[in-house]
Amino acid sequence: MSPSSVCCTKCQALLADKLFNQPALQPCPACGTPVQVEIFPALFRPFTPGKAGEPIVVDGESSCFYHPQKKAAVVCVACGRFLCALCDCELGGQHLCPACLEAGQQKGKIKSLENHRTLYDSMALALAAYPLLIFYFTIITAPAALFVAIRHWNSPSSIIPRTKIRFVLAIITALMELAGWGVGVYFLIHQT
Amino acid sequence: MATADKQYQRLPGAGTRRQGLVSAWSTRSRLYLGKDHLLCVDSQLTSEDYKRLYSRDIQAIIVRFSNRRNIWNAVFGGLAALAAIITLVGLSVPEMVTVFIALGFVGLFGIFLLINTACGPTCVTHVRTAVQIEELPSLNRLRRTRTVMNRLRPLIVEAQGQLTSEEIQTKAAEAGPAVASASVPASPFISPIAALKHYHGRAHLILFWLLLADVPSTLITVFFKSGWTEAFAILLLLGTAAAAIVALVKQHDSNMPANLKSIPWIGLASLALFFITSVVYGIVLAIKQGTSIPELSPLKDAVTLALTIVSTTISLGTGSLGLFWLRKFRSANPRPPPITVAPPGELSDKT
Repeated sequence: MSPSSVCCTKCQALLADKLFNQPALQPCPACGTPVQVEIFPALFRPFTPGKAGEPIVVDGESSCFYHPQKKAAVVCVACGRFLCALCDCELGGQHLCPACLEAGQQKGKIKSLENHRTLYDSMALALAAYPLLIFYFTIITAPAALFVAIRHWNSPSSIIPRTKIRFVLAIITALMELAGWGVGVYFLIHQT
Repeated sequence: MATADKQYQRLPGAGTRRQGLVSAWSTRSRLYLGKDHLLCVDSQLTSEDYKRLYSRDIQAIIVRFSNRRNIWNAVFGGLAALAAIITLVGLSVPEMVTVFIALGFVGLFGIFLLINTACGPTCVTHVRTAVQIEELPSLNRLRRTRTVMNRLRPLIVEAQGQLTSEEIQTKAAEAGPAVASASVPASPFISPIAALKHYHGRAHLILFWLLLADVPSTLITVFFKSGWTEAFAILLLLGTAAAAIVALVKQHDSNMPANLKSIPWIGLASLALFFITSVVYGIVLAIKQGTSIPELSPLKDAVTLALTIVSTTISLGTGSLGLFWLRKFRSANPRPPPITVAPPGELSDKT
């Protein structure tokens, strides 16, 4: 299949170019499902192969940290290691080595590579709210919700900015649950 | 916070990214527009996953019409009709409690129906880049998708430029079905739908035999009614429903023909329909007679007899057709022979 061919997402049949960039839905020639395809110049952009790195020709020339036989082309902006064309990972105009790129992604320092975040505020609210369905579990989950909310108050939340309202609601709900348990135990002791 | 807020603009819509045919855990998906990319946020209960689709990398946006709106309209309409039937029956009884409750359900399902219709036609949207075809679950309504595309188009045009219709034809003709040369490898392309797997139809075979077994089971239950026969009939019903669900899971993404794939759906739908109808009929009778749900027998009640005949006919028809089509499919698509490895002794003898 040609890299520039576009297929129907239902039946995988090739779509003709006369269907591209039409203002309304057009029937797929194979399955008849109405489809609308909007294509952009990137579809016809030729695939550029990556650089392999040049071998060292002259003795004493700077070599790549990871490939001693290859000529150093750039310097990693994070750790300062010399890199050949193959090891050079260009990201946002900066040159990084594979190790710094991996470390940056795992530690969350490179925001544009971050693809997962744990939402501690949602976790605290879930721990506080969901066990209300079976109240007996709240004796365990209410302290857990308090711990999560306090421990992770300053931890990074979603990359889409949001307030700490979930933490606040989790703390209030957990405190009310614990107060309810306290009142219940008090009355139980007094009754006996 | 204000600067961070402007980094991403929320795009309208939210959808569910389903993990497979039977999914106990669904992921809520939303779209945000960044300066130079589209951000897909998939939210689970306590975590989020992010995918960035850069404007300079988007090759195509493919929007396909889907029948989801019509299906939900049919479901809501059917439920509203059932509630309306119960309302009408309840009018013949002095107590109005049933009428009010049933009218409430009519109103509720009617509102769902109106909202679903007003939201407009449904669609499935995919974005294609050089290395992936990504579904955007939040763009599941045609009107909303067009609004989002109108906002996205200027960013893509700014990053890549624009194609006229003449340029499209010229470039498509130049590209054509040519195979990539060894020096310039073809760009990696991942199909959005996995390759169809061969499935020999064992679960379907069990389902079709269970459907056929419904005929003698019904006859025995009608003419020799006892606790054992009724228990067996209930077990058979549950077994048939379970077999239909297993068949639906197994046939997903398989090379089975559409007619064979439709039979588990028909079987499951007819089971559900007759179950709901008999329950509703029992409730209607109970309301009329002012007692608990009566024991209905096909030999004593015309409606029950009609329902029994229709359901048994459907079971017989779907079971027989299914076996016939499955046999045709199996003869046209024989199971691939197992790979056998010759023992080492034979090879050394030959060498």
